[in-house]
Amino acid sequence: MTTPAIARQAPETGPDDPTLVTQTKAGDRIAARTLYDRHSKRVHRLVFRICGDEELACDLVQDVFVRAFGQLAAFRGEAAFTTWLHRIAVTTALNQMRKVKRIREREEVLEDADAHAAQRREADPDLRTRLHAAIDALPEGLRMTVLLHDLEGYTHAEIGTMLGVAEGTSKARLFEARGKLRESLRDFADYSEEG
Amino acid sequence: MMKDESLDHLMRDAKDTYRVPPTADFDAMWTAIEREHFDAPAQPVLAPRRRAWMPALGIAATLLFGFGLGRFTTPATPDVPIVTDAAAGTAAPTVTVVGDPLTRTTYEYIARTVALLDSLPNSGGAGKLKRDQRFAAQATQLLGTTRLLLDSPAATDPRLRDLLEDLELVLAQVASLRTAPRAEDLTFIAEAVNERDVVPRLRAVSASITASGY
Repeated sequence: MTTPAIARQAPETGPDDPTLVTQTKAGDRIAARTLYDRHSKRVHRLVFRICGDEELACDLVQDVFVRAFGQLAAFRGEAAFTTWLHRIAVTTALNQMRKVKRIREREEVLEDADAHAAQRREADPDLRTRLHAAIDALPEGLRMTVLLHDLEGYTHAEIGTMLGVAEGTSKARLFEARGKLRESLRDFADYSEEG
Repeated sequence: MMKDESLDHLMRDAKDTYRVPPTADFDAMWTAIEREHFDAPAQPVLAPRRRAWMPALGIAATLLFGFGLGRFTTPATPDVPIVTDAAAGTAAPTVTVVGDPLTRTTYEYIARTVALLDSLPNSGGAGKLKRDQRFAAQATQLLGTTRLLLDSPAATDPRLRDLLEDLELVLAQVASLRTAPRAEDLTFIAEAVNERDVVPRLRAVSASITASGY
């Protein structure tokens, strides 16, 4: 394996993001590496959850950071660097997903969601697996909203910015998505936390 | 139906269990990033091209939708005449439509979408967008129409669905310009159009339609 030119930095130590951004804009590779170390794991998790493909996720991480560094001159710090970076990640991942048609394939599978769920129901009685399958089966807009809000913890305002929709739309999508999930899990209506 | 509280509990579990990414070689990824960003020869900043292809897009899209909707929405009885007059070289095609409401709506939608994208400033025009909220407002309206069309019979044609999905994403990005638009937003939009090979796809569809004698 090629030895990286700049060694891994301790992600949570050192200058804050705005300082690192300024230094990176000036061509400081160490600052860039520190930003990368600080944010790459979260970006990797985010894009992997969007695409579900290990190899593609790694490609996307590289693409996201190359784009981010390339467009850093235009970043003026109105939003947090994290928000800006994750927006690039979501946009890049969705663009790529659409390019390789994986979303469409999933949507086609999901067009008959009930039949799909019924098959799963017999094949796999495990509730967690059923929930994951139901999330996968959601239409793109609903799945992204659930993923970003319930699993990644973004606010509706942040999701609106990332997906280019109004905050209210994000809330409505989450409501609809959760309704579909509850419907998909209707066989487990008696489920409770206590088991 | 499962209770909200139960779903909440399951979603908390999913935070830690849904699509957990495998271990990745972040050092190797950094090497590639460093090579591409810092060591590559300086690249000219990607400027959104003045969309010279937009008139062609409009004409092709008009043909495309006419073709698709004709297949799915016209009755079995003798066809209602649809007259198009897409003047070559103009920014937005002039279309006269005699047909059902869905067809008319679609034609108007295409014309308005073409006009909007054609008038969108390049990356240097973010300030103009900030002052003029009509771009985002119109994109929001068109986005709603796009989603309605995606749920209509027209979207059962895979080519039409492809185009609508791509337009949905582009319009969503334009709609997001309502708050503090930045130059990179416009770059994203140009990239979204370019990366989907919108122009070659439209030309291919247009050519096939022309070849079919439509």
